[in-house]
Amino acid sequence: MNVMIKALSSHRLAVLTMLLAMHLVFVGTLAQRHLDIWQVQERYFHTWFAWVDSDYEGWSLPVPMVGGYGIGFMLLANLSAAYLTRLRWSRGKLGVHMIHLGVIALLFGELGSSLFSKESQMRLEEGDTLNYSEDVRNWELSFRVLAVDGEDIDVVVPRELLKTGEAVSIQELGLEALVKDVSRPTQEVPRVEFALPGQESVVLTGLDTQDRELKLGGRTVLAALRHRRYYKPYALTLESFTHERYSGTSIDRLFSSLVRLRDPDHGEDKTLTISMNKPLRHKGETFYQASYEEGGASILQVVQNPVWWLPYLSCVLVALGMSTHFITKFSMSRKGRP
Amino acid sequence: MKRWWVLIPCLALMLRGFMMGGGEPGKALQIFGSLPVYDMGREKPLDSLARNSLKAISGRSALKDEAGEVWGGKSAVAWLAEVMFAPGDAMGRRVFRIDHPDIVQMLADSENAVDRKYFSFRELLAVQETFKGAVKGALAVKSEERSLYQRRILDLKDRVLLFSSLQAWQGRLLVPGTSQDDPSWKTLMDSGVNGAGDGLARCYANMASSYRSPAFGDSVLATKKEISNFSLAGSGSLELLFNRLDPFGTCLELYVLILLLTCLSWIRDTRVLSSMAVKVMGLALIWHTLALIIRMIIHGRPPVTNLYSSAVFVGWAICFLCFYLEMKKSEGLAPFFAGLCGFGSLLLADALSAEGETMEAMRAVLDTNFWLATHVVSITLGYAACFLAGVIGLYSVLRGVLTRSLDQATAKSLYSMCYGVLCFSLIFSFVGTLLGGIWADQSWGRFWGWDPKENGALLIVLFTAAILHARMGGIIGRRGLWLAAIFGNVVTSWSWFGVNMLGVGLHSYGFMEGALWNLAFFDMSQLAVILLGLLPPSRWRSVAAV
Repeated sequence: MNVMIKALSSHRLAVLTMLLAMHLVFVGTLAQRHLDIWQVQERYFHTWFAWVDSDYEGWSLPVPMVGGYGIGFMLLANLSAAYLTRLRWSRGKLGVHMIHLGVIALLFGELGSSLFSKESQMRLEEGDTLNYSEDVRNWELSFRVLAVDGEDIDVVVPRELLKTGEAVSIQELGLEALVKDVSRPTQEVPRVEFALPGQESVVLTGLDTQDRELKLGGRTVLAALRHRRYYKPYALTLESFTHERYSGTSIDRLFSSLVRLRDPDHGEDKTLTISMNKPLRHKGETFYQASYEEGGASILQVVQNPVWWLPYLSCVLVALGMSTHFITKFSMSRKGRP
Repeated sequence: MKRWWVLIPCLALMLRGFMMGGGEPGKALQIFGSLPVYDMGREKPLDSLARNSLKAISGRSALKDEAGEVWGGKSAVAWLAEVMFAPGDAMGRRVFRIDHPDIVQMLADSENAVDRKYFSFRELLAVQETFKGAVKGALAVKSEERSLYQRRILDLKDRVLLFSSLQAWQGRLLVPGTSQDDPSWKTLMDSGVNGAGDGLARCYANMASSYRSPAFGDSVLATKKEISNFSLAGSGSLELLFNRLDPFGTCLELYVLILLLTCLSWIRDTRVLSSMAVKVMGLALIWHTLALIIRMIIHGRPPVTNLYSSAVFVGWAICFLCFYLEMKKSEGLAPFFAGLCGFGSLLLADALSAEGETMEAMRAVLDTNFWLATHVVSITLGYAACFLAGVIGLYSVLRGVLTRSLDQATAKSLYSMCYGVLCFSLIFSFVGTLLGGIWADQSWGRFWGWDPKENGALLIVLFTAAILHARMGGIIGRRGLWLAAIFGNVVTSWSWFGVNMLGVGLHSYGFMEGALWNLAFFDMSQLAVILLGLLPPSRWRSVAAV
């Protein structure tokens, strides 16, 4: 047992973990030539075990590695064991301890955002008003029943509920749809084929530019396969989009969106500017100027991360720890002199 | 210790740019070079445009002998004046540097193969049909899949376009508006049409017609006067001074001198030469610092904005660290490291400036002086320290394995130097990485995104932390620390350049095509030294050192 604890708390394990982490980061960086950043995060960093994925390198043997979660866990276990057995809480070491606490906060911050943060986008042309953002890496099947009198009815089926060969009951329409074929989540262009009672089978893809019109028992239904939407209790309007280049070059000098935010719940109605390095924060969500399309559409990245403060806490701890360390070292070296 | 006279030839070396040449036309052209234009997102004197363009086209910022005699000397601005005002003659000058044998072959007549590197615009025009075909072929291939030949062809196309745009300067040069109502920059064509900048358009036309005549001087002066009377454009005199002195070029020479002095001091084991080396190092540090400051003032930005400036800054930081080490404990080794790293980094910077302009406009994402000054600077300091530690490791291992000269005391001090520099590196890379995270959170809403450049910085942090923990735990000793520090060179070179070669991510501002082989070669050489150092201590010729 003692041997185990000694090994667990050893410098050797710390060094080994850091070297493993380096290897993982290196492989995870190389993989970005072939995978997008989200796939890389899923496969290498936000996972317990990872494979040096070889299909793209043309090797036949995948090599197992400890994933990001595994590395984090090893570091935590090592540090906790070291604190419990080996390290002493002396004043001279206070700074070093704070730096290590900062590193722990950093690890938890990354764990938290991998679990809880939600990213989506808003694409706005000038004059557009939107009360939802879209998750461009996920999609859903939507039906809109056009009203004969009263309001339209919207029905949304998330991708997870669509499975080949299974039926999905859509209560609002009082019918069942049989899913004949559905694309895998990794496929670039989503596609779904389904049949409604008494109808020919319908094929929808993510490339469709118009909603499909279906006649169901005298009612008109618009069906579409679209990016997953997150509806919000407030709306954004793009008043104007500014895009400047340095004269005589193709280098972007600035792009910024003038938006109007209307939040009836809070009685807010204000106009403000979102630009690079100057986001808008509202109700736990942050809107960043991410990109633009030629022709004036502005693309805002919408991020919700409940643990955004953890890295900041970590930075404070590290900064305090470093200053404490230098001050104690300095005063000790002063004392040591004759 | 009174060997200050060594600085006198150094000062002469540094200030030789003040010596003028070219006689009367040379003086007129100098004033011509001070006329302000707007180019690549920044106001600059014509002299800078001339140097950058010539550098992009021929790889040098002054004319070579192959180009022949240009009116007014061999300076870039003399060449630009000819391109603008006597385009026919300029087309015959051999200024296009072409290295790729297949392109040289394309330009050669079938009978007499050519073995030169510089070609003229006219020679390129003669084969334009073949050339256009090659460009089309290269453009049809995706950029990642292009061969070296295809990349060189496209590169040549850009240089040809640059040359022809300079010939069509009336529609390209952005000159200051010369009226109070409209001070914006516009082309001479536009200002001529609108009438607002009428005077300036006429001035330029006068310069063109009086080119190579004694009246040229007067028409240049008239243009200068017209601009200073009517526009808000600055004088650009600081940049002219910077161009003329070329302080980074002379720094490079000072570093070579330091290397020479230290190497000579080893052969004839004397304190005289090494104390001279320390003085020259101090001078080089002052000169390098001044050059960085002037560059920052001209650009209006913190010192590191792109790969070129990061190389210049790494050289400065290493020289600074070495100076500090030498002041703390004078052993005569630090000047050698400063000379070697300063020389290497400035040589690298020169290679990275091949595209000409190094003070380009900052794209929107990077347009923030605060984060450039904090995050980027501290990351770059981390790179610099990591390289210095690596160089100390290389020196120690090579001297220990190959010679008997590495005694216990020197080995001990090399070890503690290497350790101290690694600690410095860890602090700055770690702080820089955290600052980068905060910047990312402020701009994109995520502290950490596993972007390649972020990962590169993280690798340095992890590696230096691993080395220091291994030392603390007694896993590595003196030899291990040196070897690990050498591997740090591999890690740093990869973080600094390797990730840019992937061509993905938010930091691809520093993207560079090719150069992968150079990096691989460098890394292999480091690994070779590590293998050498892994010889058992008994096989080291300086047994005492390990």
